[in-house]
Amino acid sequence: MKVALINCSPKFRGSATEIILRDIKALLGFNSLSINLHINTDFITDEMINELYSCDEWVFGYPLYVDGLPSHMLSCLCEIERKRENNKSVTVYGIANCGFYEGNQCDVSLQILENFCLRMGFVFGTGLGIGGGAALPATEGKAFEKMLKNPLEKSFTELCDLIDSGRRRGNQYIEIGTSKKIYISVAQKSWDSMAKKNGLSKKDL
Amino acid sequence: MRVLIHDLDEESFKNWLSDKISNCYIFSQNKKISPCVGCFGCWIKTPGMCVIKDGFEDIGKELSYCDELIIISRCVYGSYSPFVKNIIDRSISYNHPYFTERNNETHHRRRYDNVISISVYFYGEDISENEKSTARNLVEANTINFDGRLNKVLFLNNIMELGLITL
Repeated sequence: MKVALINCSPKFRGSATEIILRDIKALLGFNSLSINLHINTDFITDEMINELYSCDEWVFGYPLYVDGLPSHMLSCLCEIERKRENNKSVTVYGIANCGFYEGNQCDVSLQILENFCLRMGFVFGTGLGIGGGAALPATEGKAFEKMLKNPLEKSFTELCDLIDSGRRRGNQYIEIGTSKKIYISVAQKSWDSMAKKNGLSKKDL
Repeated sequence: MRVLIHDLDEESFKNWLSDKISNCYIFSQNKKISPCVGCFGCWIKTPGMCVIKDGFEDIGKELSYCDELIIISRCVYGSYSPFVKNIIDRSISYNHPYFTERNNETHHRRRYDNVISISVYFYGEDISENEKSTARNLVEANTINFDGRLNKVLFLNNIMELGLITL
């Protein structure tokens, strides 16, 4: 299998999506050859579309934007549809991460990706919605990174087994390895801290 | 005040909508819009205002004056069209960065007191049942995030049918 790992975060580097796709790449089996692509703006070149079509499976990683796909990713999906190659069958997997604690808040965005597949005549393999994904970049390399990622590992391994074999299953929703209470408390402190760096107080937010 | 977000071209807007609109702030594709880059500057640098200065930076602020939000969009895979979704993505400063709980889920706290009534008109010639279901789910989820009130979600077969609706 040739697999395209498509990072649809608008951030050039250091995004949660980048971290997730890096972990996925490491877990793919020896039979899967993967290439990395980055869709970070609202146009996609013909060259990138050709690269996509050189792959049997497309794995879209993206941040949840207001319950749906980020608009720049949506633009690129429309462009891919306009330049569709008939008779080419692709299996698509979606990995959404969100700043909310509950992974199931990614559900609608995965439905949108599945509807894209139906328009294209593609197979939708499965979707994974990850709650609390926004915490991943801030904890990378720190002592509690493993604890946060612990619940993700099993899901990533199962997802990679599906990708390796091109199989399908229903969507899955998970949360990072901490309680909702702690997640919310840490998130709010981090907003305060970022505001302070910009010369703002809590009241200014 | 009402806010209208639409993706019609100038001629279609003139033909089907212009005489229905009053007391309305309009976001349309009359200039190039940049996508949200996920920097959260609208929360931590210039709270309430997007840091991308392209003429669309005041979306969150305009929503704070709004009691009715009307969205007219091509239905794309059960989502809004890329332009309309871009406006929605750039509107997050309407909310406050801190979390709260609604429907046992985390959401962002409201920054303003106004409660927005949301009406969405999706158009498209071949919108599938799956896409309609997804679009309804999307608008319902957006309404919870805005802490607003869902008025209606309607599907039109083409933009000419806009002539039949009352806004």
